[in-house]
Amino acid sequence: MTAARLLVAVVDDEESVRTSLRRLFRAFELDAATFASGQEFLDALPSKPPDCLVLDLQMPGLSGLDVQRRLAAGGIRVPTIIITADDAPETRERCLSAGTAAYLCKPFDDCTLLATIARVVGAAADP
Amino acid sequence: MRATGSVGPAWGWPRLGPRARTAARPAAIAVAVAVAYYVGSRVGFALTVPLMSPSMLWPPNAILAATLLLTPPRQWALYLLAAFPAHLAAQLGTVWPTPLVPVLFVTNCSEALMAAILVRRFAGHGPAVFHSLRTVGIFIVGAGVLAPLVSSYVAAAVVTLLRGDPYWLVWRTRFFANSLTALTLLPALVMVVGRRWSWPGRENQRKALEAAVLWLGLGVVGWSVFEEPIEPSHLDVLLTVPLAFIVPFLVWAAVRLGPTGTSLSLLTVEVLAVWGGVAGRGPFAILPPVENVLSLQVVLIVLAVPLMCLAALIEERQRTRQALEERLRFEEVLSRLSRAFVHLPREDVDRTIDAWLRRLGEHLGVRHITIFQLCGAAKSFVPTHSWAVPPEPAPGLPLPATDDGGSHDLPLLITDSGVLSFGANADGVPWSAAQIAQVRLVAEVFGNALARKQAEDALRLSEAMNAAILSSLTSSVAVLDQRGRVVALNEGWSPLLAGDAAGAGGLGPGASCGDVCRLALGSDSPHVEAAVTGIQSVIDGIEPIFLFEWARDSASLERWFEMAVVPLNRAEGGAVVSLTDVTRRKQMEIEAQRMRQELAHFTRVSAMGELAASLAHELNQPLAGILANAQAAQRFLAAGRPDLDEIRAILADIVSDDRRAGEVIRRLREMLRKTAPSRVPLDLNALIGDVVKMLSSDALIRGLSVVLDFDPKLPPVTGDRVELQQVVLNLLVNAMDAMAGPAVPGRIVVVHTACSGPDSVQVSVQDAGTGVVAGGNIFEPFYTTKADGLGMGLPIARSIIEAHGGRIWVENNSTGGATFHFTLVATLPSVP
Repeated sequence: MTAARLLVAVVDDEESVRTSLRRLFRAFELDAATFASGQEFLDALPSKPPDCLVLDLQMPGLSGLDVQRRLAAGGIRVPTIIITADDAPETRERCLSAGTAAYLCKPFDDCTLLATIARVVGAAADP
Repeated sequence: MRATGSVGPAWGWPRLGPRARTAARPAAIAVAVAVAYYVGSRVGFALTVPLMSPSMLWPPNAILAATLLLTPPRQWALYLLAAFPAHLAAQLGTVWPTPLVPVLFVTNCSEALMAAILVRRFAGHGPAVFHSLRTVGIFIVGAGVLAPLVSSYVAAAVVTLLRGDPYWLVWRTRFFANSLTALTLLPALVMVVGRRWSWPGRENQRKALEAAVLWLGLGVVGWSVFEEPIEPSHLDVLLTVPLAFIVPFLVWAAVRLGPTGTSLSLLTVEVLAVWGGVAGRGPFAILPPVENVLSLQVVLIVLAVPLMCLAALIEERQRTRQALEERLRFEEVLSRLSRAFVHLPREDVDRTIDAWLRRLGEHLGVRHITIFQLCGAAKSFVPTHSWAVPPEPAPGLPLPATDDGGSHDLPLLITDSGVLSFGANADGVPWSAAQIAQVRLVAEVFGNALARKQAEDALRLSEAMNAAILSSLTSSVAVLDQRGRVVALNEGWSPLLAGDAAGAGGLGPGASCGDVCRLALGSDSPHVEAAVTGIQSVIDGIEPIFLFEWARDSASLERWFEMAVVPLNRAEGGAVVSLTDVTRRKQMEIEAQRMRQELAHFTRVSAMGELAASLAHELNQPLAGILANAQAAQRFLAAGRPDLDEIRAILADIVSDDRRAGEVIRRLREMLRKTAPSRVPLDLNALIGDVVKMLSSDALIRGLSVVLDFDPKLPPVTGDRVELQQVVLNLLVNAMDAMAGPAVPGRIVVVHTACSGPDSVQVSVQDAGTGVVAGGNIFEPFYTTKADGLGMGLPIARSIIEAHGGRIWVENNSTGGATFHFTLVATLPSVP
């Protein structure tokens, strides 16, 4: 058996975004789990912690930052990439200062996403 | 009266009458009485038979009685006292013993008083006593018989006592002498002195001539009868026969010359007879003088009584006839007067009134007639018509006295505000009740004529006022009758008529409402039919008002007109059509609408600017999906074993995302578009849904949600899509802004739609914000509570809703926050 494939979790309220990212990760030969809201993701967390979290910032209910704060409060460290359709400089600052590993604006290129995942996962595995 | 001085009594007796009012007049009368008494006494003494004490003709008693009959009783004492010195002067030192003199004065006075009291009590006073048979009879019995009879008993007794004369002889002489003077001298005095003398007119001149002839004849015959000495050779017939020649003259006087002429004739005969008798001449000359005179007296008394009665009877008849003629004449005048004012044109009324005032004044013999009218402003009566006797230049004759003018004026109320005043009549006597009744009828005719004229004047004034108002209006106004025919129109139509190329030939009374509409709209206008129908519906009472607005191209610019038709407010019906040039108003309306659209567009653009982040978010979502799907597909294809089903699914998703992005762009473009407002049927629920989608990202970013509570059976509304979207957008953004603070719990905006009535729908946008501040009008421009707001959102919303015929308002919720409501007119499905 080869090395275990990385598991990436995707949390986004947009179904179109979830579906297309799941396809992209399959093409990257990564495992992907998608969640329609932050709450859904947190509920599923104890059974299978992901290697990387792709988290939408603006969602009804819990926002991306809320989810991050819950994870931090629970002592769970998951390298997180915030994706957002609203590219405001102050939002980027807010996310990075909250401990986010990377910040991507929608729409983003597949290579950029792959490189960012590799960077944040590598950074997490090599402290 | 004018001739008082020239035709007065020979002895200068001052005129007596109702005008003797001043204090000087009674004094003058008293002096005149004294003088007359004295002269009368001397005449009486001259006509005395020798050796006989009482006179055969005794004027003083008649003079006293005449004075008392002509003067008011309160002055009697004065005149009797005035006569006393004359009595003493005339009688002291004559045949009478001194003690007898005052006693005789007392008997004289008592005789005069008795006669005066009896006559006044039963027959009146003044010359009128001799104008009727009844009063003459009373006079004869009272003054001619009773008074001399009673007083003679006393006088004879006193004379017999003091002088020793035979009682019955004295009594007889005195009684007959005094009775005769009472029957002849007394009436003559009363009528001559008490008469209102006037300068004889043509008629009276003939009468005077006749009187002169009669008097001359009477004098000649009387002289030959009473004064010719007796020649015994001529005693071939009785001496008394010539006495009969007197009778025809006396009858002539009674028939032709009235009571005055009769009395004067009788007096003439008496004087001649007594004078002759005393001298022993006359028809009874063969008797001793005393018996001679007595016979003459008896004959004259017997003649006097029926003659006076005859004269009174004829006078009475004549006066009755005169009164009747007078009345007939008056009625003739009255009927002509009434006819004169029938159907008289208004402008002739004044002239006719003036002419008739003159004719009436002359007919009635008054000095002036004046019509006064109450002048409203001055609150006083001012003369409007008058006539007065023209002053006659009459040298040597005094003009009519004017000092008492007005004392007998007769004012009569003839209309509500008019008085007809008759001046005193020429004789100066007060108006009798019969005369007042007559002139009242005359006044009524004048009053009716004036009232009619006033009514016509008022009508004309009102018509002139109406015409002035009509012509002063700037609009073109036409008044139509119930058949739609023009009855009046003002000057406002002239420019239209002048510019009427079709040459309608003028618009005048009688034109039809079709003519009016063709002229107003232009004869080739397609709206003429509709305008005629509209006017007819107002005339028929189907519509309370008809308004019609249209543009009419002229050479230089487009002009707008408005036709307003309202019912004519009168019983017969009709309508008033007014045509107004509303170009200026219309231009302002168009300009205001353009400004509003500009502003609305500007605020839409600025709202879109504020929504830029949200819109970017809304677009980036599908773009992210598209890019990821496309790159995944590329990788699947590059791997060399593509799952075609997967590729198909990817492409379907890409198409869907692309459509979604296109929809966002469409909405954006729609909001930013700048087009003229249109009116189309709209589904409000769908429209609101679109706006909510546009704002969904904004809500997401703000962390709040929008809940829709739609009535699925909402009827469509007619309006402009973009404008109504802007209203919803403004209200939603406003609601979300209201909940911007972090402290607001339950961050939800609820949008309701519902039917609020049979033909209206209502939209409510409810927030959970801080509510609105009472008192501030948040729909006014530049009213804002936000730091970065323009304050234009809500005013724009209001102007759009009102332009759509709806209403917008706000109220605070009981649970906090505010709800904005607006209503719109529902478009009812048209019945096929």
